[in-house]
Amino acid sequence: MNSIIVDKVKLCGEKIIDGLQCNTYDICKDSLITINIKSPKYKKYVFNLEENAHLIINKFYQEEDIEEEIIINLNGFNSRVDYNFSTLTYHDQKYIININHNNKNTISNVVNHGVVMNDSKLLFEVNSTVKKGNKNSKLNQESKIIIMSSNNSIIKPNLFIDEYDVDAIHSATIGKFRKEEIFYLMTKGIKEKDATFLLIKGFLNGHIGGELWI
Amino acid sequence: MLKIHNLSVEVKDKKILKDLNLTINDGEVHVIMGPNGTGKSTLSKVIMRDDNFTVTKGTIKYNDKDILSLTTDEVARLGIFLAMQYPISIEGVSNADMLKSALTIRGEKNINLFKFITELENAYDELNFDKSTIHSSINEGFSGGERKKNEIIGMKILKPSFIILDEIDSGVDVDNLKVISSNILKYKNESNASLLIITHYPHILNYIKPDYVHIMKDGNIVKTGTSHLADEILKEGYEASIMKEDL
Repeated sequence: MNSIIVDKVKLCGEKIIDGLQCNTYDICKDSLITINIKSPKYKKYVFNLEENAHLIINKFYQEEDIEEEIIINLNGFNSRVDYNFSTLTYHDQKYIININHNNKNTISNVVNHGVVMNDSKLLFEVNSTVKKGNKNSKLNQESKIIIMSSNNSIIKPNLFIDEYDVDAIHSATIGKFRKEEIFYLMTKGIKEKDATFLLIKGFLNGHIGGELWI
Repeated sequence: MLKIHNLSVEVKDKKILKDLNLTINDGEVHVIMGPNGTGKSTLSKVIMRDDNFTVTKGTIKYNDKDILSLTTDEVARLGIFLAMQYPISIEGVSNADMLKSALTIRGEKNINLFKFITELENAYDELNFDKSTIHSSINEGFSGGERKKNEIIGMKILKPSFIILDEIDSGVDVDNLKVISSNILKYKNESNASLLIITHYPHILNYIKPDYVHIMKDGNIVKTGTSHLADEILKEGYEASIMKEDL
């Protein structure tokens, strides 16, 4: 992975982009940009959103040890980010997601799903910040980790809010698939390992556009 | 033929089923009724090898195969289907994905996708069910009645030879109960499948005529009769029906 800043890129209009070409993006006013990311490229990358800009990030990793930090600056009035991430890992991974609500009426929706196949450590740290005066902002954080073995994983669902007029929700769950889910699928004749695979696939794919990523 | 012999079952050291005996021949319809907490649903789950229950004594055989030595999926692949009392929702896994996997594992390695989807869509139509949910997460956002219909869609696709309906009528309105019942009856008539119906109310028996009605109490079958027994229970309650001498 590269941590050197390549050129900053400005994205405007309505576009769907596969992968990251640089580590800093400016999203123009009134744009709708979807970025689908399937492998890590930079240790740290930044998105700056202008007024009414809407950024959708769908990200799926199936890689080795990763440490990654992402900064999303909601600079423009009414700007919005939907960040949907899934990872399937056998290795230690650390993800820091910083969302800065730097204007009024800004929206952030962060959904992280991870499946840890062994005793590795997966960390999701989500830092959502709203400074005083940035009213009517909406924040949602949902991070879930499914552990297939012992738990060494951590979720830090941080909300740093200095404004009363804000809707903020955060949730963090670490656990195993429910026994009833496996049993239900097995009552249809599906073997335990195939039932588990179906659940993993559904858990990881469900929120990143319903596409077949694995 | 399903043959349950002297079956005793415990959950966390609490005895639920006590020396229960029941034989269901091919094509027969049996109904088990009884007060809450008497072990009716436990019986269905034990047949499906739910490991929350410990069998302390007895045997369950289906077509001479020892069910107690099998896993849940192996029991299902013998042709036994459980329509659950509370079908759960599963995030991210669609009905189509689940049923396709179930058919693939049953040996239809390269299932004909066109045939599969056509059959699935027909099943949805026959149950008056919204086809747009075929690729949605299983039971997510469904009402109680819709979840029960979804179970019957699974039955029609997986084509079992022995069907356990655990309170398929609870949480279902009259119109939908009619639709569900007619689909079960049609499948039963086409396949000669056996039915084990667990219920509190005899309404479903207006559509599906049972060969035998059993009353279960304290973990055992205490009385067996014909469909008249179900009417008697509705009129007089369990205790009075148990006490009443057969004519």
